[in-house]
Amino acid sequence: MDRRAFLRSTGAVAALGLAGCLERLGFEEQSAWRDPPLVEDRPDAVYVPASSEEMGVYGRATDWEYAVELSYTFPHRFWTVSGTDRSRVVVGADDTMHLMVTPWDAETDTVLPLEMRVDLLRDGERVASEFSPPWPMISQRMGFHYGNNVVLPEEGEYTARISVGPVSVRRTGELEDRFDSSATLEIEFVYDRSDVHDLEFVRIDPDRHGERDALSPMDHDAHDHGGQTDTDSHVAMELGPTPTSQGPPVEDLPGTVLGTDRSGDAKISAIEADRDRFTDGDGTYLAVTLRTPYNGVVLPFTALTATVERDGDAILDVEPLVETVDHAFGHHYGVGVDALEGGDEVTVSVDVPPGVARHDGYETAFFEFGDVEFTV
Amino acid sequence: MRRDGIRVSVAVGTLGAAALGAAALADTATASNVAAGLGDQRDLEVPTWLYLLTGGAAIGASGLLAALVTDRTFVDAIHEWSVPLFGPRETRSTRRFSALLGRTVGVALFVAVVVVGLVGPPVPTANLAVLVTFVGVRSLLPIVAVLVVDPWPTVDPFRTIATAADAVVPDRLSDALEYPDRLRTWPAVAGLFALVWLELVLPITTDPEALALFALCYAGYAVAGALAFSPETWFRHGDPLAVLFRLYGSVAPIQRDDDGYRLVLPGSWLRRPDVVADSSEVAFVLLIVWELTFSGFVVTPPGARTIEAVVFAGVPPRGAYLLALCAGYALFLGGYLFAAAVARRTAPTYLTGRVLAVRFAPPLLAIAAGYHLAHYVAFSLNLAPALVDTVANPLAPPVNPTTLALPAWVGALEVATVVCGHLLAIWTAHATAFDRFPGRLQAIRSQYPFVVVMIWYTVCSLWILSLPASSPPFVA
Repeated sequence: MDRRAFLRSTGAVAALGLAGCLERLGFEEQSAWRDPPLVEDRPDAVYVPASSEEMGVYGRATDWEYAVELSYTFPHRFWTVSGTDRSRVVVGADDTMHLMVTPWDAETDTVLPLEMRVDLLRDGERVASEFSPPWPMISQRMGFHYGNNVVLPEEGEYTARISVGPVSVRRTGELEDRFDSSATLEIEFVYDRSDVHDLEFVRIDPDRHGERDALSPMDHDAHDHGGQTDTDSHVAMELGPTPTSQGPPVEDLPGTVLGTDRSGDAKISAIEADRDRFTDGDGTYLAVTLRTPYNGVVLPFTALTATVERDGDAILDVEPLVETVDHAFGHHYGVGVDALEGGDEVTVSVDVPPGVARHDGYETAFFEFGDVEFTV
Repeated sequence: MRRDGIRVSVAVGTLGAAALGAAALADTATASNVAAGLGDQRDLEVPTWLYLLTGGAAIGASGLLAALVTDRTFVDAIHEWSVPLFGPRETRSTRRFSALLGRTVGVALFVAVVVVGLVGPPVPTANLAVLVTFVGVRSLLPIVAVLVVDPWPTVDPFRTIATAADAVVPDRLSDALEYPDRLRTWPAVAGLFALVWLELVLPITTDPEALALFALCYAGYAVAGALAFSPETWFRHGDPLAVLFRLYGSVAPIQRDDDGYRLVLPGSWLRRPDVVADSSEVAFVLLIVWELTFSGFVVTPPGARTIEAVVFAGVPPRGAYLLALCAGYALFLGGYLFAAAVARRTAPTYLTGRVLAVRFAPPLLAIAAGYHLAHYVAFSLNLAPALVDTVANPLAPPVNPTTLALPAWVGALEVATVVCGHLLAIWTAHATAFDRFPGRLQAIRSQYPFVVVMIWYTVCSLWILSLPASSPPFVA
């Protein structure tokens, strides 16, 4: 053993000894960002949080079916949702950063809810298995995406091997017959601490904390690409900007808007559309969008039912709506029904909270839903 | 017990706290901690009144017990016991080496604070400038000064830079002014006052860039002072940090005199008449005691309500802090001077109140030492891993700073340090009285008013420790 190795090993033993000693005394290593201050008196609704973080982009990849973008920011707190339960995930002392993947359809620019796994490889070896599968989540600045805090052993080059698909929800229109299988896309990136340090951490004016509003979604064109570029620059050219998960404006959808109402602080719109493009049979296709207020981010992974009453008789009785992605409607929930007539009463219920993890500002909303009613 | 952290935590808190806080991050021990954004809270298990009463009673009872020790030889033996640590020869070479090493480290860290503050990570808990300044210089160095030896003269980068500047600048430009004797140490009092206020109202705990610029300004101020008069004079009377560390250092068990370093009993040198020279230094000592109380107070709910009340009465926020700082200081200083005046009569003695105030000020440094430990031990431990990480890698420290979560007994330790500081102060005042007054009864009687003042300080301090930490309003 040479002197250096000796010093290294004694140093390591001393560090371990010190750490063990501190632990016995009751000290515990924690992240400085373990649990940042929460806004006081949070409403049970979407609210303006105390802070937000800029994000950087490591790269994008596509097989011209699926497209994915890998982005990163400071490690941070979020809440996972399981049924009606919410649990807080605090930043661990070892967490390196928060990695995010946005998957979308390369052709129609529709952000997709799907199955995903991500393996992070260093020199071909897998690291950070905690990352997989990442949580589907929503945040005010970023909308719907997949993400988690990850532990990387050191700075350097990594490969993110992202398996996407199949899309588990129904596809219609131009998306029909697509996304039945999965694809594996790889994005290489260099983890450099300074790239994360260079991101801006934005403190929100305390007067706005808890206000019933949301931070506006970030502009995907404008954000910094973190010193990385797409491996293939023509990919970037042809893919166009990464789409946001905001649904298309309800009034632009091909159909008649029956109305828009708020429930559980989510914005629920019912649209009467042609049935034949979506389901068999004649009549109406009742499409319901469930989105965040203010930003109109789609809320996937939940169960809705609809009842349609005509002169006191149910022509549709607590029928589940099918979660669907469509090239024109984007993400929505829908069901076929006999042709609606004037005076029909449509009642929509959200039966479980959307199964997406939440970042600050969304964690108290979208839990307690009341029925919403529309009259044709 | 409450305690603190960097609310950088604030920032860090969220990210700080995020901002350290969220940031960082991420509250008082003092305002600086809060500003950094870390914070946690512990609950007091006994009723507050009982806890405060017990603390106050402990101080009062120890005053009575001390009064039973009337053997002058014994008191002198305690205060005069000392062991030389190095022979004169080792001292000379050791001194030269340690001076060189200390100056190099000090200046290197100063440069690092400025450079990393300007170009380093913006998150305070990941920035070396913020951590070295507030965990290193603001928290740890005074702890070292109190518990071991005053390190500041050795590492003080401002003195090193000012001395170098003084050597380079032509004689006709430097030392041009005679330091007016009547200024005494008042410039340092004003300087410390300004530092305490600016720490609260400037974003220097959350914005590394602001901190770097502030450090540069301070260096400029120190160099200007040293050039205008002379480095010796300026750092003896004008530089608030130098005076602060000198006074803290007088509590330490290792003392420096002309023959080198000596090991003494902790606090025993506080009896010496030269620790506090005049009224201006009495004001400085009281300002230390009040500063620690104040910066703890403004980050508690009652403190925040006080500031808010002043602001709602129409005073701008920064003015409100200044007002609260002045008013509380006047109260603390006034209480002490009143006690000194009353002591004239209780003793009785022909010595003036001013002479008594000067002579009995050093024991207050033991109280200040206790407060400092109480307010900063948890804060320093909490951020120590982050400090080590940033020093190891100043420009690209870990993205997610590590901190230490503290066990509940640290809260008890804080209370213990406050109480120990006060006990030491009671004893030192007693010993000082026996040194100063010929009559035993006179010496004991002279202590009555000072014991009352000390009980009052203790109760204030323990009460603040029992409150939860919050962020200082308006300036966060």
